[in-house]
Amino acid sequence: MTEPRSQTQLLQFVREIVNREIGSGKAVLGDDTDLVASGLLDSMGWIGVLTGIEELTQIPNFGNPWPEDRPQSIRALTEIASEAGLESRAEKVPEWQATADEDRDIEVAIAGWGFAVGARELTAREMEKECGLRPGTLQDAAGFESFHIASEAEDQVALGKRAAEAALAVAGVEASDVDLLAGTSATFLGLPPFTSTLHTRLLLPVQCRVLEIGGACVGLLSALWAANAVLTSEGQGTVLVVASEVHSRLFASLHAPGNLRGLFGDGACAFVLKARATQDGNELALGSFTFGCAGRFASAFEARLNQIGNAGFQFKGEQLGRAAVDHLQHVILRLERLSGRPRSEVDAFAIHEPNPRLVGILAQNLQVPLEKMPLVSRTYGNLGSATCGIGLCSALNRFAKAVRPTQPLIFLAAVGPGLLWAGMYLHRQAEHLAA
Amino acid sequence: MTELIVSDITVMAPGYCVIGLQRLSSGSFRSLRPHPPSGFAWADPFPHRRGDAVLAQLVPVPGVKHPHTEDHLSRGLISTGRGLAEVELIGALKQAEIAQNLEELFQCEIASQSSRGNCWIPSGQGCRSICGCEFENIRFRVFEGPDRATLRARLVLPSGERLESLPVVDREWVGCFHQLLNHFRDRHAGIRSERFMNGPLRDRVIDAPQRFARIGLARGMQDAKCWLMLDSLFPQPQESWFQTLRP
Repeated sequence: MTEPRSQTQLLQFVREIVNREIGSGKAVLGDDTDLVASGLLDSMGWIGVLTGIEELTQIPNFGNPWPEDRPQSIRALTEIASEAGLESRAEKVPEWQATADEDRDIEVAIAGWGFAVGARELTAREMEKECGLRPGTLQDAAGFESFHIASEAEDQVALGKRAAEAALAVAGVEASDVDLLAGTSATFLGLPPFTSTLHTRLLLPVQCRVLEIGGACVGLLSALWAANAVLTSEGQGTVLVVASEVHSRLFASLHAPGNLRGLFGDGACAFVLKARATQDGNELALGSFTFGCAGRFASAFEARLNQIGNAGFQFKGEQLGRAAVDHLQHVILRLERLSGRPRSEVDAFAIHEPNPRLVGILAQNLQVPLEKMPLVSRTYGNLGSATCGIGLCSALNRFAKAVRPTQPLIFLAAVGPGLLWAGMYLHRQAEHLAA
Repeated sequence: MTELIVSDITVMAPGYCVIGLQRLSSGSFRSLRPHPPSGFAWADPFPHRRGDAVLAQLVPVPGVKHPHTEDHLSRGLISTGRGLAEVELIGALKQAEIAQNLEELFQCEIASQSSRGNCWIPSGQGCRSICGCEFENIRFRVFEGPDRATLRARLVLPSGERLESLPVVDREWVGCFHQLLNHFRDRHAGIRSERFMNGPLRDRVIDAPQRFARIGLARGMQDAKCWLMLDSLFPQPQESWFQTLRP
C-alpha cells in the first residue's frame, strides 16, 4: 500500500531523528539495534524520538504505548509510523475528501495571480537612517537591498485592490463572477474589517461571501486552505484570496522600535482559485496543507495595546530568526512527506522571508539552490502575509514566460508570531493520472 | 545551622533530591539544595514533607558548576517540628526565584529538538537550576514503554509560552500517578490514568485559588544537556480527589 519512495523517505527521516537525539560521538549499529537496550538512548532520548516522529508525521500519540513484542529500533519505528500513518489518514480524512481523493473529480486550481507593492522605494541605507539604525544593520547584516513602502495615497485596501484586479485579469474572470472573497491583513486595524472594505472597493456582488482570516504571516496559507475547503466541498465556484499589509504606517504610529520597523515593507498579493474537474485543466492545483503552532516561542515577537492604548513590543530577533529557520525546515520536510517528492524535485520555494540572510541559511541547511527561492524580501522588505504569496507570483510569472516544467512542483511555507507555521504544495492538475 | 523550609522533593533514583528555602534578611527566600551526607540522593523513605522546617549544617559545594549553583554539602536534616501549610509555602515560593517567561526561568535560552520534545539548557549555562512560575494551563501525558510508564506535563506560562514535555518528578504527583496505574492495572492503565489526570485531577488543579510550579534542571550527563523537569506542582494531590474512582 505504501509507495516504496515514501517508505524510504520515512526510514531516512526516522534515522535523522534518532541520530539527532543520540548526538555526535555515538553510532547506531544498524536499523535493528534496540536503541534503549543498547544504551544509545535513555528514557529522555526515547521520548524525544517519539515526539520528533510525532511532529514530523502528525501521527497523534505516536508509538505510545510501545508494543511489548517490538524492539525499540529504527526499523520498528519506521514500520509503526508507516502502519499508523495509513490508519491515521483513513480515519481523519472526511468522506467528501476521501471520495475526492479517490476519484480525483475535483481539484482546486490557481487560475490567476497578481501582486502590488508600495510605490515609495527606499534603499536599505535610507531605511536605516529613517529608523535610527546603525549603518549596515539592514543591508550588511540582514541582506536587504531596498524596501517598498506605501505612499500617502496607498493603504491595505488600495494595494489589495491592485493585486486582486491583476489576478482577475490573468484568470480572465470578472469581479461579478467571484463567489467568495477570503482576505487577511494583520496590519489593518479598524472597522469595517479589511475584507469587507475590499469587497466594497472591488464592487464584488452583494451575494459574494466574505471570510476574514487571521494568522499574520501565515494568513495567506490559512486563507488558501479555507478557499480550498470551500471549493472542494461545493465542487464549483470562484474564490479570490487576498493578503495585504502596510507595516510602515502601523509601526510608525505605534512607535515600534527601529530594529523592528526597519525589517518590513508594504505589499499585497492575490490569487483566483477555481474548482475544476480534474481532467479539464492544465493549471497548478493545490495539494495538501500542514499547520501547527509551537507555543514555546510565543514571546519571541509580541505586539500589544495596553489598557490605555499604548503599544508594547517585544522582539527577540536572534531567537525568532533561529526558530523561524528551524520551523521552515520542518515544514519543508513535512511537504516532502505529503507530496511524496523530495526537495530536489521542487521547482520553486515560495516561503515567508524574515530577512534575506535567513533565507540564505535556510537554503544552505536544506541544500537547495538559493535560485529556487525568489528572495522577495531583498527588494521589497519583509511583507508579512504577502511575502510567500509574492514569491509564488514570481514563480508563476517565471513559468508563464519560460518553458514550464513537465511535472511542476512548488512548496509554500510560512511562519508567524506564536510561533505559527504552515505549508502547502502546488502540483500540476492531473499529475496523478500521468503518474 | 541554617533553617530551611523543604520546598521540593523530587524522584531521583535511587532516592530523592531535596530543595529547601532559606529566608533572607530582606524577607525574601532563596533555594538551596542540601546533598545527603553520602551519595547524591536522599534515601527512601525520606521522612520530611514539603513545608517542613528543618535545620542543616550547610557548606557550599567546592567548585560548583552552573547551573546547579544551589548545591550544598550537609550532614543531614534535623526536624524542628514546625512548618508551613501549603498556602504559606506557595507564598514563600513566590518570594524566591520566580519567572514570567521561559528565558527568565534560568536566565538563558531554552533549547529543544522539536516543538513537542524535551527541553534543556546546556550544562555550564544558566544562573540557577530551580525556578518557580505561575501557570495558565496544564495537561498530563503518559508514555508507556515496554517496561514502565512515565508521566509528563505540558504547561502554559503567564507569557503564553508553552513547555511541551516536562518529566514530572514531584514525589507526590508521581505517587499519585503510580496509584492510578495500580488502580487500573490492565493493559489500558496508561491511557485511563492519563484520562483521569486530565479530567478530575486537572480540574482540581485549574480551579485551585493558588497554582504554582517549580521547574528544575537535571544534571547534565555525557551529552551535557540539563533537562527541564517539573519538580513541584501546586496544589499537591489530595486523597479526596480520588473519591470518584470506582473500586
